[in-house]
Amino acid sequence: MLNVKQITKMIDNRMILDKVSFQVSAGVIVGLVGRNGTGKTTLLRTIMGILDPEGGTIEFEGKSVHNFPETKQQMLYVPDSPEAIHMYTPDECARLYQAIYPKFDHNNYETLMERFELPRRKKIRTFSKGMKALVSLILAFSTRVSLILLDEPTNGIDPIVKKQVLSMIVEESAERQVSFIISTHQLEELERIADQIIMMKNGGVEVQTSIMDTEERFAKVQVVFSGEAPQELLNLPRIYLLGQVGRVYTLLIEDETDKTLNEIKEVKPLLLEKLPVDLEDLFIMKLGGGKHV
Amino acid sequence: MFNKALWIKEWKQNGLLWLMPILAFFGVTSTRLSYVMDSENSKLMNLKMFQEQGADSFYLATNNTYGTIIMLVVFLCWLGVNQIGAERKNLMNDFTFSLPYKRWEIYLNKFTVGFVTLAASLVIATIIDMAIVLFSPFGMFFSPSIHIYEAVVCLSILTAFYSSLLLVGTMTGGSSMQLLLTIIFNLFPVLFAGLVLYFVEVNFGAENFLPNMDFGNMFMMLYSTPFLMYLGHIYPEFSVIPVILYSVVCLGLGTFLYNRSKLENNGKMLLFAKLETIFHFGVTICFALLGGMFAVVVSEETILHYYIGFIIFGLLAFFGFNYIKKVRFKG
Repeated sequence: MLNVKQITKMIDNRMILDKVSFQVSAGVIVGLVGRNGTGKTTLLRTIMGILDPEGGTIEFEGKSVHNFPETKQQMLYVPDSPEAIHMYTPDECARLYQAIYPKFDHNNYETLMERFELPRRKKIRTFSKGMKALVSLILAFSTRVSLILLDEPTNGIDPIVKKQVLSMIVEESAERQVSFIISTHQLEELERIADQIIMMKNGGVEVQTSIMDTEERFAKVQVVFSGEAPQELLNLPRIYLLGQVGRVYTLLIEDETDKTLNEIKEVKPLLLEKLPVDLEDLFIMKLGGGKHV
Repeated sequence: MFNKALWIKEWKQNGLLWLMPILAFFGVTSTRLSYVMDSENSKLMNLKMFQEQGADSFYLATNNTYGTIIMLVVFLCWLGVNQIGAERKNLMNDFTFSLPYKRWEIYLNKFTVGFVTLAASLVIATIIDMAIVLFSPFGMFFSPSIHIYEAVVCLSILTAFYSSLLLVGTMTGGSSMQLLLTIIFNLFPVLFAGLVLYFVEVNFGAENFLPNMDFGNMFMMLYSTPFLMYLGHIYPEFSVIPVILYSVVCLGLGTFLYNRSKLENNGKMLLFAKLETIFHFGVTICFALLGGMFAVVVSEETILHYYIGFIIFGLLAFFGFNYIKKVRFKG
């Protein structure tokens, strides 16, 4: 469906995107994560044809998005702040979207607006932050496009509505094969809904993995060593120190997990406990938040 | 070419467009209305005067083309800046460029929205104006061709200005810079010619140099912007062809540049790095010439002071531009 090939983008003589490549298939939810300023929003804007890349191509259904903007009838970008539609009422905006996106589903729009009890004839600029985000999402879902790019979609939404929004995303993806690329810092949300995770660092893709892959490739353990911590072991490149409290070490092991666990067992630790790996651990390990032993 | 979605968007984004017909109405009809609504005595006196002087004198006395142009230029400034420059300061530009349309299509629809509203406003105002004259005591002077002439002059000059305003918007990174550069562009030939003539006068002496100059070419340059074309014409010899050509060139260039918009430079003075070099050179030269002129006018001295002013202003402009080109403006 979407094929991002070797995209490079420079802004103010700084490489913001450096040969970014990935693919998104139909009905897949992709989580785009990275520290602030790593180029996530620039990537979304480039995919949507808002910015022109210096190199590489972005193809949707085999057609270049930049050369054939009509392909964007099947794509929609929801920025983190819907400033562009502030002057509209939701109904006016729905009329505009109806003129742009031929498959716009007005019944779906009306149903969702009623479900979330949102006013339809008040200017969007008068809405709270959460309401604005919700209206943008409802409009996006009603366009019936095949790919939706969301930049921080749950910012400002209360936990109850957030849960509903996330389940709507999963529903759309499962029932209508809509794909999503979601840029967010809410890692626990992504863990629940994303099929794939793309981690960006310094403008490039640092890791591209699925949640299932993560469970297979990584192991998280809590260890208490009997004496001094064995530095030789901790210095192995596949072992990352996530945290240390006194003699309690929390480690993340990448690849060859069984072999590494055996090596740890050989030094006879007082405690060796396996913990579930979460996305945040991976984020800290890969994107420089933690300290490599 | 007409795109319903883009028209809806432009009308919504430029919510005051409905004001244009009202402004056009006041601009076109105000002077004639004031004559028609004058006291009976004044009306009789004016009628007698115009009868003695001929029908043309009625139209000359009641012509408000300048007023109409000035009024609508101010409105078009707001419109053009709102359509291009103001889009750059919020996420509206992202929204526009994320739509499934080619950029040239977006640009031409922006232009068409403004042009069609302007043309419709002037046509309606002119029809009302004709009716006012026709059904008034001054109906005996009624000449449809003069009304049409005035409408064509207004429409062509304003369209040319509007297309230049949009063109400048495709190069600049924000509304204030778009407005500033449009004003400079529209007056540039006269200002630049003035600076060059002063340079020639100081360095070579006007009496030695000016007689050899080709004034034909000089005037061609002077009348190279819509306002100057209008100011320089002699009634009723206004030719719309250069004005239409000017509009077409601006529109073509604007479409070309809008297609290549670099949104990542929004907020900067200019969107294109290649243009910065040209502007840097131009601004430095103009300020240097201005500095030289200023130094001579203030000191009432001659060539040495001219070059001191020339160098100081030139250097200030050179380094000032170097600084400004990196700054991101909010407006």
